[in-house]
Amino acid sequence: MDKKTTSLDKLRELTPRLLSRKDIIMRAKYGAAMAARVNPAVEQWFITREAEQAKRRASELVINAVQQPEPAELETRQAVSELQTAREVEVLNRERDLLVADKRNLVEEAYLPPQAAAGGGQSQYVQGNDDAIAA
Amino acid sequence: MQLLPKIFKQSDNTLQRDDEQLIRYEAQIGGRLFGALPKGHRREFFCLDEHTWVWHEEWVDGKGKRQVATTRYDIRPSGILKAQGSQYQPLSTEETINLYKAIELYEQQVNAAYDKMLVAV
Repeated sequence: MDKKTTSLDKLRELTPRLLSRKDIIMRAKYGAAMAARVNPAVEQWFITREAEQAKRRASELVINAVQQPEPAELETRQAVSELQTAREVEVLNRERDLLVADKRNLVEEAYLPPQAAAGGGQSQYVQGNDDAIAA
Repeated sequence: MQLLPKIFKQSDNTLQRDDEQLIRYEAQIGGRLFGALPKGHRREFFCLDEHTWVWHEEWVDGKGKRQVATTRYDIRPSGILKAQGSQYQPLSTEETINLYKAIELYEQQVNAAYDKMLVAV
């Protein structure tokens, strides 16, 4: 058995003692608070401190509430984000279509005979072939 | 886990011995709650049981003589009493508040140390 396993076993064995000590300390603290509050001046100190703590907690809650968006706000944000994404997709699709159309034009121009490409009817090559067929 | 060898030097502790060693460990944590100590000073503060808190301090005086002071705080339904030697006296308002603040810190730090050990199990 290695050293780590032994320590872990010892810890497992010790767990109830640790929990028991935690419990004793908690009760000792509670008892001390009760006994201390017998003194009116100390009681006043406790009351003032508890009020300050409550006030601090309340202001923390307010700050958190302000900082955290409401569910409706979240939904709006999500909708806006979805709309933006949709628009971006639309723009991208349009750009892609334009690119595809340009490419198609380029390909068509490259394969068209020179005259046809220039808008002048059939090419010499095509004409020659027609003559051969007629003969 | 790394804390264990510091607390437990032997593996054959009885339950009582475990508790004693845990208290000794807590006393070290408690002793550090009040800031740094001058050289040659030793301070311990700990919860002995549900009704008793102990402050123990040892130091060497200017003449090289070892001095020891132990204060026991007895928690009673009627208030907190301070015992030094055979003398008992009630705590002043300021002492009571300071003791309570120390107890709160002690609980926080000891609990944090124990929680760390318990998580490792």
